[in-house]
Amino acid sequence: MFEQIRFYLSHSFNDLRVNKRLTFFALLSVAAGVAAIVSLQTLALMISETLESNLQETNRGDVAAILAMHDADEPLVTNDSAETASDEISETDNTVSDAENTSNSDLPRTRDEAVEAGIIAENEFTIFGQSQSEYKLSQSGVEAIEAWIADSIFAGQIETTYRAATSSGFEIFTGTGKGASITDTESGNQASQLSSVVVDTAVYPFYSDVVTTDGQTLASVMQNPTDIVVGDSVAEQLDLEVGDTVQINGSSATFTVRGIAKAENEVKNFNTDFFAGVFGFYYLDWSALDLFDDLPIQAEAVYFKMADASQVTLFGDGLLDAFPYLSLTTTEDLREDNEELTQQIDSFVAVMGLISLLLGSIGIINTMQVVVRRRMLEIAVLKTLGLQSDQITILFLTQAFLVGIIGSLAGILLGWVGTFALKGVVANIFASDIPFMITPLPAINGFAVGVVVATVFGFLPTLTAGQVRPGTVLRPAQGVIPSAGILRSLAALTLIIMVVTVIVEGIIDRYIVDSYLSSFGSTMAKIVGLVDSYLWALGGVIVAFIAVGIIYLLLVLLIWIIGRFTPTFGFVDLKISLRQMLVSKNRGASTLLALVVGVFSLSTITLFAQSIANILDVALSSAGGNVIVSVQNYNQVDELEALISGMEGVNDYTAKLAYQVEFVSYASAETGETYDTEAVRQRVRDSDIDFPPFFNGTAEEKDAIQQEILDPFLLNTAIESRSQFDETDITFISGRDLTAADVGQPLLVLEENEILNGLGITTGDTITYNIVSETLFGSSSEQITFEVVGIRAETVSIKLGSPYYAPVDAFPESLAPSTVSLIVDVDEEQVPALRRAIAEVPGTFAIETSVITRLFTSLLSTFTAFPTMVAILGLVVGGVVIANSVALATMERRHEIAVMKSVGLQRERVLGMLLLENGILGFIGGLLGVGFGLIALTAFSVALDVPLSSIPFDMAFWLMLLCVGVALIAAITSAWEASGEKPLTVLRYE
Amino acid sequence: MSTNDVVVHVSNVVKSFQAGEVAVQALRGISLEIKRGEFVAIIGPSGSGKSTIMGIIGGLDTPDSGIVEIDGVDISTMKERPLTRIRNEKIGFVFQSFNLIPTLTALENVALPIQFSKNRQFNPHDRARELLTQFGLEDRLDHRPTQLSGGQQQRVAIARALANNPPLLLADEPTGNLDTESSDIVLAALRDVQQKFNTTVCIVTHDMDVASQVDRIITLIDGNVAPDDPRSTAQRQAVKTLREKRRTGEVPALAEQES
Repeated sequence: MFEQIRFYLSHSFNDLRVNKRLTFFALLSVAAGVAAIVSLQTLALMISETLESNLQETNRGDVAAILAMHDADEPLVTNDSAETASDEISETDNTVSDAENTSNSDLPRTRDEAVEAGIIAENEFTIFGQSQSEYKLSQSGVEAIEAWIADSIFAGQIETTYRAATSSGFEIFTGTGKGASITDTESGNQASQLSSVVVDTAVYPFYSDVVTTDGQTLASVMQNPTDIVVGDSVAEQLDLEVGDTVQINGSSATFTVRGIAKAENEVKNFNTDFFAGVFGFYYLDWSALDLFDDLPIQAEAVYFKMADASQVTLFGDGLLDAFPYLSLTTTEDLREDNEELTQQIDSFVAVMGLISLLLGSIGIINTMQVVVRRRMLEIAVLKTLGLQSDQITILFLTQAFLVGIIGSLAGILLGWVGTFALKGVVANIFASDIPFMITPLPAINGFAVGVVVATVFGFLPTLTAGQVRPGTVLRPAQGVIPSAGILRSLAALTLIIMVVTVIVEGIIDRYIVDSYLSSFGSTMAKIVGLVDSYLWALGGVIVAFIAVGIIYLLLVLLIWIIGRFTPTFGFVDLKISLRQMLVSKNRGASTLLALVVGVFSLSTITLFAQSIANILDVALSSAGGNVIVSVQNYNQVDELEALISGMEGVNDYTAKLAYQVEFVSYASAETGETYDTEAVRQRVRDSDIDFPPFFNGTAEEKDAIQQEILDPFLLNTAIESRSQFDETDITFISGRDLTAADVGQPLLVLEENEILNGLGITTGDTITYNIVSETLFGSSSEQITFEVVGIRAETVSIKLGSPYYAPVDAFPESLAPSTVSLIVDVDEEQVPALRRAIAEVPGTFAIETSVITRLFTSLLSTFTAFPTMVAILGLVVGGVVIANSVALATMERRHEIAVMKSVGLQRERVLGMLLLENGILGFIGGLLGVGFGLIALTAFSVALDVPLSSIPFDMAFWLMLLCVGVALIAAITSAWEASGEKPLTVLRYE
Repeated sequence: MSTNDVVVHVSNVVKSFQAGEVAVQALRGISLEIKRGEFVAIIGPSGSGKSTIMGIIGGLDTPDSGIVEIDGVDISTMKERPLTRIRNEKIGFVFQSFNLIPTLTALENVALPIQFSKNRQFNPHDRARELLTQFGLEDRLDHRPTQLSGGQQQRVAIARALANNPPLLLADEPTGNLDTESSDIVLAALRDVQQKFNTTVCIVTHDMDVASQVDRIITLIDGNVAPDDPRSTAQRQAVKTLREKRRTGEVPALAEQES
């Protein structure tokens, strides 16, 4: 027995050693898949480790407090734990309990009370005529918190610092706030939408240092109020260097750049540091606030550093009890968030890694098939010597096993290299430096899964090895690869499915299993849970195999059709290539499958992202200009129009006026019935409206959503007063558009939506609205009954006025529009001048559409970067399978290649044929992969009523080209050597 | 004659197969017997059924009809598994192109059939060493096939065929890929095997030089055993005479003629 095992091992080893090329590509197939698993899992662990180890650093303290988003009227919920914590704090320290209880009861309980008490500062602003407020902790608020701490058991154990800003989030976005832009004094260039980070540079941030690119800390470089450290994106935008001087809007002082800080210093939290990450930031010391006119100190966030970090939850709960309008993030909260995030990443990378490995296993199947084919004579000889079929199978299985072991070990190394290479991408996504580390777990996972998958997938072709007829030894030229037999093939397939299920269940379903284990107490229940989980996974794998099987057969058919019916126009090279495709259509199909999966993943992600970006572009371009001006009230319109029309570089502008309306009733022209609000609500309930799409909740939840969206869609909406009637690209579902002749008449054009459709509102119906007008001088209202003259198709556009419109003068002059804005089309270079001019008019601001684009693009790239990276890995594995396939094909066709060369074909011509064949394969792969991606995107767009024009066909073209490129590069790497073989060597000596 | 003296018994064997799109009737009711310790050659023109009958006698293939007995065991309807055991224990094979396992050394190649034998009679490596030494290859034990000459490879193949001490050794054109000198050495080795071990040696060949050195000739024509053809008997006799004259120096050897 031992001798037999030794024979299996030594023979397999030697065979791998002798057939170097074959071995190389087989190993590469396994290695690529394992590398994907190892690199992705290592990255996931690195992310998890980084997030876990930097909790205090990320949180900038043990506890971080910002103002909660909830409304002032909302009843405050004091949870049990907070109350308990409060009791504990007071009970533990009797000496301060009375004082604390007193101070707690004295403290305001709501945001409004806190505003009144001066703890919270309210900053009002107007956007498109609507009054809004932003809240921040005032200096008194910070002092109140510090006083509360001093009175509690935490006195003397907590350090506090806070981060202030010169402008609010709204002001940053609109570029109107103090300190929202910086101008290089030398060049005059300006960077806007900047976040100012005003901190006590001596202590900020707790637990880490802000380090400039030249290795200095914030505390060491910022000695004077006029010292500034800028973020790297700002420095890059303005070409700033240390020592340069800048002006900050809102201050007359000149600031000196003392350092440049990388984004990861400040951008740590996606929610609170978003603007800083997208548009850039800079640091100022608290003392610099004096250099700005009329700028009160207001804290964006307060950070607490605790002497005893284990008291975090107790302190947090106590603080929340005293200041209920705060929103706290403790290191414990971050840990929980991170755990959830890393679990999701872990599952995602495990799935993608497994898919990559399964793609790689196609390479194993192909390789083992060729190995068996090439060694048929040897197998026959072994059989004549007395080896049984199963012993032959074991022999080849040993080889697949060895390929699995060596390939997996190589994959682990490649995976680590890949991790190192991809570290930067992940660091960018998480805006944090992710230290490189090598951990055993992903390597062990990758190794185990690699070896098992290689061996199991090698099993099917090796079964055929056992069936080679020994008589082949006498007529080797006539030997044909036998079939493994239906029963054996089915048994092998069952084994493969079961093993893959174990892997899938083990990797992907780990969390489900964990939840089973934790929720079931008894051993029996655990077993039931595991079996149940396994059966689910088994079902999934079987469905996946059937789907893959069907796709495979379709691909075989496709290759047959292409090989058989593509006209060659007398082009011999094409004819030979197509014939060869026909001959090896099975392997071609499996190769194509790997390529299609890789391209499909990549194309789906990139096409979806680009489609969203296109929708945004379309929406922004439909706004009719590149600058949107928000107007505080209607009376300013004339002044602004005069200002804008007189400005240089302004090509066009439009005023958008919209009136806020309240629904009174709707009368159907068809039935003559009239419905008030309640009747409309009931009609929605009675109807079968298919909204929201793909909704998976209960009927009650669906009804709640539908009732909620009745408001913006019908009940409390806005109607634009339209004076221009020249839009030509609108499609009408029914009725007509407004014309100049309609001016002054109560006619209404609606934009279709699911609710209106469900209600059956159509042209000829009438809707009575109460028009509400609120001005500084009081409010007034008037009822108008509009006749619906047209219902237009839904479009993606920036609807600054409203999607519903009536002709100008349909609204009485006594009523003021509620929303006023201007769309200006102005030359790019004149935008800063326009902004400055607009800022002079009180309550107005201008924002460029490009700012919105930057914002969304940044969001998109953040969300798609990781999946894109993973999909690229998938495509690389697809490329490896192609390289493997070509290597196998050239090996099998050495004789044919030699004959072609012996009759006078140059190496380039032979190579050209191989490339042509694989280029066609790559093209089909691209066509299918990208095509499926486009189909998915189209289906999604149709389901969500997104215009199909947003589908990025140009990107689809480039993706297809990429696919052909991958196929050609993969082919050339493996075909180059084969095409250079001397014909005599092959024809005479092989 | 007792049945124990007959190692190969073939009776009315018919075999046809498909060669591409053409159906070929390779054997048309052939019957023959080979006795223990005989040194026999099966000869015949191309397509006469030599390789087919060898495959069937060797248990590499099964007949469509008829009986094939090897050492008293009927293998004509045997399933693959027991047939493999017969091949392992009762038959040794030598092929024209040696068919050694390229990744194994000479010693490992010879030891292989013993390692996979159910009824192991010998220690694999001791037996392999002994046989290889017997064939003058004691200094080539650890050489791989690519490191051996054609003659050496064929002697390794003969040693491998004898590993389990089978009663029957089948050789398919054993000298077909060899030069004259190596051919002589290999044939001498086969003769040695027959004489020392009383092994039945059956050679399939169309080489008259080889055929002239065996004890009995079985001639096949069109899938049947043919009565001895006077032309081929004369031809064989002529070759035998020439060989004898070369041996005695009456006629110079081929190498000397060329020089």
